[in-house]
Amino acid sequence: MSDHATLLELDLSDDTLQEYFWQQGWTDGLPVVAPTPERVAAMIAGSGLTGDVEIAAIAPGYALCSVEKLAINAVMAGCKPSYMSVLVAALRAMAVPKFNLSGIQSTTHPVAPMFVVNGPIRHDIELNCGSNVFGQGFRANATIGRAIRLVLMNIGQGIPGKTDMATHGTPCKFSFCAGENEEQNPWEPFHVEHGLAKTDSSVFVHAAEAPHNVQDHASANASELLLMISDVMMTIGGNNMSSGGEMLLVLGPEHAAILAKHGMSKDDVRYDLHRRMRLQLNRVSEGCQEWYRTKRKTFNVAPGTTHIPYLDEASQIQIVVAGGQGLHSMVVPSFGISHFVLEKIV
Amino acid sequence: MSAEKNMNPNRLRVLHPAVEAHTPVKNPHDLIPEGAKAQGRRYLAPRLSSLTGKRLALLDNNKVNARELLTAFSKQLNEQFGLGDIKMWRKPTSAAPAPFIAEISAWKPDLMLTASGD
Repeated sequence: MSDHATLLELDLSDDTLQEYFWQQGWTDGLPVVAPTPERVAAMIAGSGLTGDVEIAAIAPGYALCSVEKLAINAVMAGCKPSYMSVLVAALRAMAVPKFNLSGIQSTTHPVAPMFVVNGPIRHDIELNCGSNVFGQGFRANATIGRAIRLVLMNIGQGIPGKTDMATHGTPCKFSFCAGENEEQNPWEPFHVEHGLAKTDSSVFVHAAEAPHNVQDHASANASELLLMISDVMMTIGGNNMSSGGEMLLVLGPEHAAILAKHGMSKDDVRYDLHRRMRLQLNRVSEGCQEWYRTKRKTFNVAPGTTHIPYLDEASQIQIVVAGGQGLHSMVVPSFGISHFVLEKIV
Repeated sequence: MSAEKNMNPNRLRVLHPAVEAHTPVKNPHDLIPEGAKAQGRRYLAPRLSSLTGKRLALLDNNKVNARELLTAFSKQLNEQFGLGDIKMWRKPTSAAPAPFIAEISAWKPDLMLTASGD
């Protein structure tokens, strides 16, 4: 159980609030909503929990985030109380050791936690799953990711240039939250694939590099489309090349429909992609190859070998369907040294 | 929140969003979901009175120059103080905890040095 947050008294001016919070390092650089006791109480009520319940210890500082502290940051981010159950599940997911939040928070790599929500709660909170799913214009998408970022800074103590050592960071660190477009997914949704019921709601977290587009308006069949996708997935210089690990493929509904129409299951897609993803070794410098040999068995090959598997296993390719009309998909590489975590929303 | 009674109604009241002095902090070793028991309070090891004949473990974080830095430093220590055994371990990746802490402990080093190359 945690003690209550301290009540602060400031001049009755929004400018004062913004300046004070910014000077304390409590914001992401954007203006915040004042976390008044009344707003925070409403946010806590939205969680169905009491404010003193401890949710998770947040790396790298490992301070415990209580429901109250989460609610304060959620108010600041502009969340509605109905988002609280998603936020609680998201924090729990990130605290599972295999996600490696400590590494993610402190690395020089441009990584951000990406949240994908499944189940009926998407509609309850009007979370965008369709057109412009990674873009602007949707309160739930914009503020859920933002609230988590504020918690990562204010409770986890991931401070840019001090403990968060990202060389450049990524715009995804402001907010990166989407819903799966289950209604236009020709296969079972992500959470059902991983053992939950379709009527359950869930959030999964992926240690994401910024997404990269796959624009393919012209491939005549599944094989041609997968040729294009596999080439985008084989980025030279990404962490997945040097460290292996998982990648997320976000298929647009129209690309997913092409693959399904040609009789492919999700497993067919991931095995086909894995088979195609062969890294041409002469595209990687000798210096980097020498270092990678200490990190990935895949690079320890006989002299004269020209190609190696880009990923170790097909199962490292996770697939969801999201977005709207248009023949585009998105590849979301990862930090590499991380495993996705799926958390049921209760 | 009894302090509220004494507050000026013409001032804006907001709640502190960040870590405070009373915010509890967890030992990350207690967070293993499989139910590892809390390991209790930890204390710093007593300082060594001498390095002569001592067994030195080196932990390379697997970034560029960590190995070179540790090698040079351990060589200098050895020349100056006459260490006993020296052994280096290299993490598979800098971005996750070392998977062989038990192995290092079993080697029973008297002291350990690590370096974060980059």
